[in-house]
Amino acid sequence: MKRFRPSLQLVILGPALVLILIVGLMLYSLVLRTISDNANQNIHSTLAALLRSAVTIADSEVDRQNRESLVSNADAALTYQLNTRIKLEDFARDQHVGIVVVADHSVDFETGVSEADAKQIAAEAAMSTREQVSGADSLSYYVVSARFAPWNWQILLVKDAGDFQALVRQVRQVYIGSALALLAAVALMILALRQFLVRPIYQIAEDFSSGSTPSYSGIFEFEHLSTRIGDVMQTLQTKTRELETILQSMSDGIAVFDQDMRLSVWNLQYAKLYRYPDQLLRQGAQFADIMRYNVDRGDYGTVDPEEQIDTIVERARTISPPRFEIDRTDGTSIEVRRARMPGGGFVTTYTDITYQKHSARLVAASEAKSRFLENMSHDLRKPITAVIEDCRLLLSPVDQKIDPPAQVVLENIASNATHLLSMVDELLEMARIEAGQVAVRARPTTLQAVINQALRATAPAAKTKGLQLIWESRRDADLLTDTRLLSRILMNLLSNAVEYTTRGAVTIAARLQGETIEISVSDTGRGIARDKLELIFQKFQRVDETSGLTKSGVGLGLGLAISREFAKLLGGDIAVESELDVGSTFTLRFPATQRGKSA
Amino acid sequence: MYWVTQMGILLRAVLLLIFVFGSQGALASERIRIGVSLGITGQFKEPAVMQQRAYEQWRDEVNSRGGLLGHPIDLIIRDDEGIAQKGLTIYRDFVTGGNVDLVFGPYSSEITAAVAKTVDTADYPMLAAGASADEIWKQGYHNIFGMWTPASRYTQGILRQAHEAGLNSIAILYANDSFSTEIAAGTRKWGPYLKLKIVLDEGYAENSPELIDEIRRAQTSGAELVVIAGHLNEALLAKQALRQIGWTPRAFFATVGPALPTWSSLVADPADATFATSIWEPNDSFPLSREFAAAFEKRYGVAASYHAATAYAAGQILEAAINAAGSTERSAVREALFSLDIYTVLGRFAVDRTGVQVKRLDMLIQWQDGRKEIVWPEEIRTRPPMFGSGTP
Repeated sequence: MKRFRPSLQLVILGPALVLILIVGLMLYSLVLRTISDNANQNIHSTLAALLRSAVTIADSEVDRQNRESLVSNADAALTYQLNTRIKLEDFARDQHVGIVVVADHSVDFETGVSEADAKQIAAEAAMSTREQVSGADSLSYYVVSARFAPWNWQILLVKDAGDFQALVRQVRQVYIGSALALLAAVALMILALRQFLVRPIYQIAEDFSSGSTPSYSGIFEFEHLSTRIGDVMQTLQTKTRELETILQSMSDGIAVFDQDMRLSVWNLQYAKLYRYPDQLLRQGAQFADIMRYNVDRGDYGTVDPEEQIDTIVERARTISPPRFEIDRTDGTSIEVRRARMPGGGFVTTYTDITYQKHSARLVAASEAKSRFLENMSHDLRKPITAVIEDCRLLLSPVDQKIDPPAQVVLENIASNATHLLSMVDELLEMARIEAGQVAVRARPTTLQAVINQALRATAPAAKTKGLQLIWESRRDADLLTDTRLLSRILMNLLSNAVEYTTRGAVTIAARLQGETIEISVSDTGRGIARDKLELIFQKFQRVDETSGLTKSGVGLGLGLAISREFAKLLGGDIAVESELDVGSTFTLRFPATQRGKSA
Repeated sequence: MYWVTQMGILLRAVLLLIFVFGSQGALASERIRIGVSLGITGQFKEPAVMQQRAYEQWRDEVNSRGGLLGHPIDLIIRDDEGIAQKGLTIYRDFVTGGNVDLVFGPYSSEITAAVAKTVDTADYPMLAAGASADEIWKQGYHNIFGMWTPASRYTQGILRQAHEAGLNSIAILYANDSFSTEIAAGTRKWGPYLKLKIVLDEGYAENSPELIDEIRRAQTSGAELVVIAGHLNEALLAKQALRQIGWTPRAFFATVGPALPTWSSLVADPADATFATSIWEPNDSFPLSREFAAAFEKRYGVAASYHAATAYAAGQILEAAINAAGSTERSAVREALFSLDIYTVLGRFAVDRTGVQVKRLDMLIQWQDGRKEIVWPEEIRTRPPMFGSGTP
C-alpha cells in the first residue's frame, strides 16, 4: 500500500481550512439559533403590541358609539363596526400584518390575507393555542389573538412567517456566499502557495535533478537556497569531474550496474579491454546483453550461449565468487573483482593480468634455470676437482718419472680441467647472485692489503705475457668491506686486462673521494668499441665479440657481469672507458665503510 | 516622499469632489425642475388640461413668493396623449436622464400604475395626483404618495347613507378599467357589513355606447340602490337608460361624473337626485379652497374641477414637504411626505408607510333641486340626503 504523503499546501492550508469550517459551522448554528430566538421573541412581542393597537382602534369606535349613545341601536352599531373594520384594514396595510376578525365562529372580516387563509387560520386558532398556524396554501403564519368583548369578536393578528424564513434564507445565503468566498480565498491561497512556495521548490529540485545550476530569483529565502545548492552542485560537479578523470585514467576497467543490472557507470578502459563497440555501452544497457556480446564473440569458446549467459548473470547477481580470472581465447587474461554497491547493484573491476601471469612464468623459469645451474655446477665441480687433483698427483715428481708426452697430456688435462672448473665456478657464482644467496660480510681491512692480494694472483700471468703490472699512487685506506667480493672484482678486472693486453702494461690505481674508494684498472690492450661498452656487463657476453677482435681468451662471459653484481652488493658500481687500439680503463667505486648485508 | 505624493493625490481628489458637487449645488440653487406628464391631447384631455393649468397656477404663485427655499420652479410638462407606454417613456427620461429634480404623477390610475415602478426604482418621490386604484399601493413601492381616497372607499358615503335610510339591496355595474373595478370591489366588500345585499354585480366594457341592458337587469334584480362605477360618460348613459326604461331606483349613484359642475346641464333634469362621490368642492370646507377656485376661474375663465384642485393640492403638499425637509434632496423630501399631516385645498393629507392616503374623506354629494348638495359627512353636510320611494 502506498504511503500517504501530504503536499505542502495541505499541510499549511488543511488545518486552517478545517478550523475555519468548524468555526464557521458553529457560528452558523449559533447565529441561526440567535436569529430564531430573537425573531420568535420579537415577532411575539411585536404582534402582541400590534394587537393591542388593533384592539385600541376597535375600542375607539366603541367609545365613539358610547359617546353618541347609540349602543342600543343595533343597526347604528353596524356603522361603527364598519368604521372599525376600515381602521383595522388601514392598520394592517400600514403595519404589514394581516387581520382576521372572527364573529360567531366564522370569519367576519379579513385583510392582509386571502379569504381561504383567513378561514384556515380561524379554524386552527380556534383549536390550538399555538402561536404559529398554517394557512390554506401551507404558508406559515404567526398568529396572536384577543377577544374583543363589546362586539364579541375574536381579533386575530397574523404575520407571515415567510418574512422570518426569508431572513433565515438571507442568513443562509450570506453563509453560502461567505463559504464560496472562503473557498475562493483558499483556492487563491493554494494558487499563491503553488506560485510562490511550491513552484520554486519544484523548480530548484528540477534544476538540481537535471544537473543544471538552480537559477531561481524571487523570494529571498528560496534565492538563498538556490544559491547554496548551486554552490554545492558546483563542488559536486568538480568532484565528479575529478572522479571521472580518475575513473577514465585507471588502467583497470570499471563498470557499475544498478539493482536492475543496467549499466550506469563505466570507463574507457572497460570498453578497450573488451574491445566493445561504442553502441553497446550505453546508459541503461542490460548486463545480460553485454555478456551476450562476449559469448557471441567467442570469448568463452564453444558453449551454449543462453546457458553461459545465465551462468554469468547469476554469478554477477550473487557476487559469487567475488574474484575470478578469465583466460580468453586470444591469450589474454582478465582478473574480475566484484563488490556490492551501497544502493543496490554491483561494481566490477577488470584487470588485464596477462603480463603478470607471463612474468610469473618467466620468474619460475628463471628460478628453475638457477636451480639447474647450481645443481649442475655442484655436480660438475666434484669430478672436475677430482680430475685436477689426480693430474697434480701424477705430475708431482715425488718418486717416479713420467714420460714427457704423457706429462704434456696430463698438463693439458689439468689445464683444461682448471679452466672448466673456473667456468663452473662462474656459473655457480652467477646462480647464487640470481638466487640472492650472496651475503655481504664486511670485515676490517686495508686498501693495500686487498690490492696486493689481487696483484699477487695476477702477477704470474702478466709475467708470462711480458706485461708490466704497475701499481700507481700507492695510497692506503682503512676499509670495512667484504674482502672476498672486493678481491674477486679486482682479480677479475686485472686478469681481464692481462688477458686482453698483448704488450705494454696493466696499471692499477686507487683514490679516496670522500668516503668513496675509487680503484681503476687500465690496460694498453685492444680497447672496446664505444657502442659495445654496456654490453660487456651483460651475462654471457664476451669482450672479443663486442670489440669485433679475434677471441684470444676463454670463459663463459660472466666475469664482468659477476663483478658488476658484486660491486652493486658493495654499494657501488663499475664504469668503463675505452678507446680502440689504445686501451681500456675499468673504474670501481664503492664506499669505504660497508655495513654488513646480504643481497 | 511617499506621504507627500499620497497627500497630493488626496488633495486633488478632494478638490475634484468639491468642484463636481459644488457645480451641482450651484445648478440646483438656480431653479428647481419638476417634471410631469399629462394626457393633454388624448382621452383624458379635459382632466389633464385642468391639472396642467392648476400646476402652472401653483408654479406662478410660488415663484411670485420667491420660489421654494429661494429657488424658482420650472415645470416641465409633457404630453403622454393618455397612453400608458408614452407616459412610461417620458418618466424614464425624467428619472434616468437627470432632466428633472422632482416629479408629479400623471393623470389616470392606469398611467400612474405603468410609471410607478420606474419612478420608485429611481427613488423619485411622486405625488399621484391622478390615481386612486388600490392596486398601485399593493406593490410595495416607497415613493408613490396617494392624494385621493382609495377607489375601494369611494362608495363609503352612499353605503352608509343607504344603510341609514333602510335600503337593503345593491346593483353594481362597473367599467372594466382598474379604477372602476376597485370601486366595485369596495362596494362588494363593505356593503354586506351594512346589511346591503348585492343583487347584481356586473361589469361592462369601458366606453360602452349604451347601458340599457345592464340597467334593465338591475331593475329586474330588484335593487334599491344602483351603483355605476365608471366615468362621466357611463354615468350619463346609465341615467339615460333609466329614463328610457322609466325606472327610478330608490337611489342612483355614479362615481366621478355627477360631481362635475357640468353634470346638471348635461342631464337637464330638475328632478335629478343622483348621488356621487365628490373629491373636492369649491367651498369653505378646506382652507384656501374657495380662494383657489376663484383665482383659477379668474385666470383661465373656467371653473376649476377636482382634477385641478388635486394638482394644485399636489403643489401645496410638495411645497410643504420641501419646506419641512429644508432641502430638495429627494430622500429628505420623501421622508417629509411620509410624516406630513396637513390640510390643502383638497382636504387633509396624510399617508401610511405604504403611501396610501388614509386621512382624507371624500364627500357624498346629491343633486337636489338642480343643485349639488353635500350630504355626507354630516360635519360638512349642506343638506340631508333624499331617497326616493322607487318606481318598479
